Amino acid sequence: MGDSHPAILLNSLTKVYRRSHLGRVRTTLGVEQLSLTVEKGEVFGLLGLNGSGKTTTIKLILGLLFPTEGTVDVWGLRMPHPAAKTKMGYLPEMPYFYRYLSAREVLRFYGNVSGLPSETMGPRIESVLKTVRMTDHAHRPMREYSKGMLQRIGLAQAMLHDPEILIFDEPVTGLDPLGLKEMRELIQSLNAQGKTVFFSSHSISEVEKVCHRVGILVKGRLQRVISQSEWSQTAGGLEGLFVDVVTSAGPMEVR
Amino acid sequence: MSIKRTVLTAGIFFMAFLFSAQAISTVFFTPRWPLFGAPSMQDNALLDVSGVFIGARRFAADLAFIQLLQYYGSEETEHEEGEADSLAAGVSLSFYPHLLTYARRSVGLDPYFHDVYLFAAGALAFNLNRAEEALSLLAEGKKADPTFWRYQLYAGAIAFRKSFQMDKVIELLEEAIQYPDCPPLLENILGNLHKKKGNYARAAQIFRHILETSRDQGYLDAARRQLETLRSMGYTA
Amino acid sequence: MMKSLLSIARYTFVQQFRNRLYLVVLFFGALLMGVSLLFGALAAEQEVRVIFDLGLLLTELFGIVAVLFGAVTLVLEEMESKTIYLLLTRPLPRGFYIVGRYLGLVVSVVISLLLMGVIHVTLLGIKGWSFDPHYLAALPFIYLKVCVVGALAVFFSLFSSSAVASVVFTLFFSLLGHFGSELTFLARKSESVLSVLLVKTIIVIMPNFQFLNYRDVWHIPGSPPLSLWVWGGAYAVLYAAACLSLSIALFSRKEF
Repeated sequence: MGDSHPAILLNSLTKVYRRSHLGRVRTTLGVEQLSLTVEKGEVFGLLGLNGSGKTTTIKLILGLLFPTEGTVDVWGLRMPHPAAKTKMGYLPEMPYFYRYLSAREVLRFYGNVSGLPSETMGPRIESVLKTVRMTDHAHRPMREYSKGMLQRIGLAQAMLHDPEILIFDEPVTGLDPLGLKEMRELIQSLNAQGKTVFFSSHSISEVEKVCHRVGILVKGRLQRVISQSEWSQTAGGLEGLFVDVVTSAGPMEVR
Repeated sequence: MSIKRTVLTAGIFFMAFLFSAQAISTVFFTPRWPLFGAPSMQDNALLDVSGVFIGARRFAADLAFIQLLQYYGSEETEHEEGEADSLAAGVSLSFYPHLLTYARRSVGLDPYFHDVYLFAAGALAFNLNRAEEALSLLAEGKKADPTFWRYQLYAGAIAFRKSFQMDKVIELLEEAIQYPDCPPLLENILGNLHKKKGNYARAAQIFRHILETSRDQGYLDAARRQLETLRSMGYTA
Repeated sequence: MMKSLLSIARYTFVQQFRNRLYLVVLFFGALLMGVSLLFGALAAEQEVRVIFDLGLLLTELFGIVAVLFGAVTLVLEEMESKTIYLLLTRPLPRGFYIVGRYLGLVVSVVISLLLMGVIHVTLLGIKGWSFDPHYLAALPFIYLKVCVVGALAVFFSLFSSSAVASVVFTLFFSLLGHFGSELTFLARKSESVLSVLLVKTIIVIMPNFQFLNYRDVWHIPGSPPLSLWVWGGAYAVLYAAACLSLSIALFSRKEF
């Protein structure tokens, strides 16, 4: 993993979902010919409407899905690669945890699976709990947590092993204004530490506040990548550019 | 599945098969294990096959033996009436006509269930006066397990009983009851034989032993009654 | 890496007992007591033998039921609840996940079987049984059988993605696995080449539990030889390893 490699490199990535039922095979296009580079230390936002392929892209990066065509490289390592996974932290849209475990127990479990040394585990767990402001509730079983609290623990487990890349799937969905502010500040703080942040969203206002660049997905295709300097100089801002891209994108062929 | 993993898996399976083939040559199992063709199975085929299906031949044989006891304990005759009287009179009784079939069913499942052979042979020969059936059963037992020499001991006792050499019968039964697998049926018969011959002290000892060790209520009651009779005659164990 | 595998195994072990696996042990104990009293009354002089055989049989059946239902929900439940996402995005090889879950499951079931053994031996002692070392030999083979059934169940749960189907398939394989000598007998008697080939294929693929049925053959004079320990144990381990290997292969290609 050299510094010369980009953090994430997607090369002509295509994902076709195949479902067979009673002998008939139905195909659904997830993403098509997606090529994208995320540089080290960048905050990159993936914008798109519902069903545009944002979650598919993230799952392909993480190795939860396998590409039909194309490749995914993380720090120059072809995914799925265990070494690359040590450098990634993931927050799903809806984090699911073991309901009978407390937050500390869950974090300790994930820390062990991530290979955190025992001597640093305890302090590290307390540190991330403090960052997400869950220290006082960490002893309670997860089944007692609200959605917001689960989201915080989700962030905690993503940061636990101090990864270089953080991948968030719709991190601002369902958050109240205070929550939005905290999430924004967290992303900026992580980026200030030199971390690369890649996240998907359909909240344009939040994306334009924190991202250096934004990719716009429409029906599985990356239509455009826009830099902060570009949208800040455009009359309609990022929203105007987004609407233009989405409305001008042609219909997709479904194979 | 990657080719490498497929080959590895196939290799593991193949090794397992080689090991199992080796194990086949070393695992001891009787050629009578196969279920098919045993004539005594038909009435309880489902129960017995189920036992085989879950790898519980021994327990299936136990259940078959319990059914044998229930059959033999059913209301066809009292224990006492069948015994010494039939011995003395040489009367052939036709009670419990299927006793041999029941026994064969149990040992068909577990040919090494020695107690079934001994119990059924004892009942057939000494209670029901069907020495030929008893001897054929013991011969089957000996064929299944030639190392269990007590089959010969019982066969000898039955042979002497056929020729009414009661002293010889007593001698062989005295040897048989030394072993823990001797059924109380035979102890009871020996006790009665001693009583018939006037060896009341020895008879009382034997009935006392039955009272102390047997779990069969029928034999416990019979032993209790015998001891009361002997006590009234002035003999105690 | 080993730490990750052991973490998965430990968590699975805890999960089994939180899922009330111990209730199986309690139910076993109660059932054994009740049924033993009944059979004891009926079996007369064979009471101890009946309790001995029944106890080992129930230990095995309960163990198989516990491992079967534990195994089929092991991965399927985690996939459905999506808690698996945060595990697979970590540097945890998928094979380690399967092996770790399997190890945690069989260890929890084996501990339950040990507890059942204690209950059984206590009952036998009360009934006047003198300790027979064959008992100690019968138990490991029961554990091996349970391990093989567990591995089969994990494989079928990933193969079919349905808990019901995997239970059915595993039970079918397990039942046929006890019919080894009868199938061999059929193969010998059959005149059709196709039938012989079919039966022999079944004998190879099915787990041959005759090799692990120590509790049914220990009383046969001259057996079991020491080689039974070696070959039977090796067979069980290799068979379970083959099932797990196939399971890992299936799981490696699963998408979430």
